Amino acid sequence: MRVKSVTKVTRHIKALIDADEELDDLWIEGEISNFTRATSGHCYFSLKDSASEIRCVMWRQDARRLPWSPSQGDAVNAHGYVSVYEQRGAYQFYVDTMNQGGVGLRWRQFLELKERLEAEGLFDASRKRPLPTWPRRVGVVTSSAGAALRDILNVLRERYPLVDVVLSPSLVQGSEAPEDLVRALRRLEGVEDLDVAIIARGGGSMEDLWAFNDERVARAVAAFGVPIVSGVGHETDFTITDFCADLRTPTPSTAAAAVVPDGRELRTQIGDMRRNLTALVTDRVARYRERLERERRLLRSRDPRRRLAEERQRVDDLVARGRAAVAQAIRNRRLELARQRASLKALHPYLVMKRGYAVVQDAVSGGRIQSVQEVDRGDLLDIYLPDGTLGTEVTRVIEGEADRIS
Amino acid sequence: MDKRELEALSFEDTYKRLEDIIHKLEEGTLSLDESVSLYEEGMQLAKHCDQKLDAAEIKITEVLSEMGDEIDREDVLI
Repeated sequence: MRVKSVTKVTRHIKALIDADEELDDLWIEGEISNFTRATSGHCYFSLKDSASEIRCVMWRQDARRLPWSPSQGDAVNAHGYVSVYEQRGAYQFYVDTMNQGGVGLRWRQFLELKERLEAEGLFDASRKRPLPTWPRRVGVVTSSAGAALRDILNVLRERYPLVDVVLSPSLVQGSEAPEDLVRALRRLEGVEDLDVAIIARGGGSMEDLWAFNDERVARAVAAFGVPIVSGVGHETDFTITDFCADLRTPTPSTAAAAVVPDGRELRTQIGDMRRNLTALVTDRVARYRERLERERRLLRSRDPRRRLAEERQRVDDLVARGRAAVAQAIRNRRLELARQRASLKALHPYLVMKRGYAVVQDAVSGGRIQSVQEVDRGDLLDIYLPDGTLGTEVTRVIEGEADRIS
Repeated sequence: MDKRELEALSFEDTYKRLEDIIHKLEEGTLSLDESVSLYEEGMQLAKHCDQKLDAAEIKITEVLSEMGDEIDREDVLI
């Protein structure tokens, strides 16, 4: 057997690798680690996934063309070829270009954790507790220096300044952050009368938010004693903590808005209730007044004095009617009388006498003489004429019809 | 309700009492006297609610240990 030199073996390996078309032109996805940029400008790093790692080189002129500057933890798709660096006897991936967005190791871990916790039921809708309507004490886990806290306090102050805030400060970034977050949550658990809590961090790269994808943090949030609302990062970022919270909101401000009632809305409602009160009572009073008026009318209609007056009026009516009837009767009588008087007048002896007749009376007895047989010769008779009386003595009595009178 | 009783009520209790009063008035089974006195109380409560919202200042404390010790953190008011 021939003994070969290191160089020869290495060259052989290199030749094998270089001859492989598969390795000559390929894309590899992975997460950048141990990234260094030499003073020469060449970049050295590794690409790794959950199980393996491959050494990478990117020459200065290629690295310069990248639109972003690669760093530790970036998930990338890298293009190049695999060859052997003979001096070190190491196979390497010679990267000529790469872009962000490949599925990195952390992303894989994220997905794996998410799947596991989801399978465990930690994200179940049935686990989500409703937030209290009227919170008094709000716990806040965030950095005591960050903009997140300022945003939260501003929103609370503006919306519902009646709450007390219990701050449990924590690191929210870096390798210490997950443990610190868990400790901060635990401290809050010791606070009495806490109604609701917020776990928040301002926006940043997914890398910055990574502590909120830590299993310990996620579990602490899921197991938290009172309803907890997450507000981590920006609109589009979802962390494992978000999935475990009772309510996920996109930012610290929205988290704060979610845990308290809206003061402006409350004021509007109070104003409405005030108007409602007035309307109800005005209406009530009006209704009572109406009822009162009705009863007053009823009462008045039953007033005995009113009755008496009515009776009196009825009597008056009767009297008036009676009086009218009597007057009418009198008038009728008078007319009748006048008529009779007229006909009577027509019969008066005077009028007869005026037509040439005379009335004859016995001057002694005053009896009216209607027949010659009542008279004897020598009787004294008074003969009444319209303008006077003739005293006479009868000298003759002649019987027979009076038709001789012309 | 006198002033001290009113002061002792929390915002939400005041608000809930106000809602109760409205409900009672809406039922319309009360006497006129009761209605009027509830109205007066309601107006007082509404005013109190507004005042509470106007006057409130967030109180901030910081929790120091898992025993729940707290200190005031007014300096956080930015």
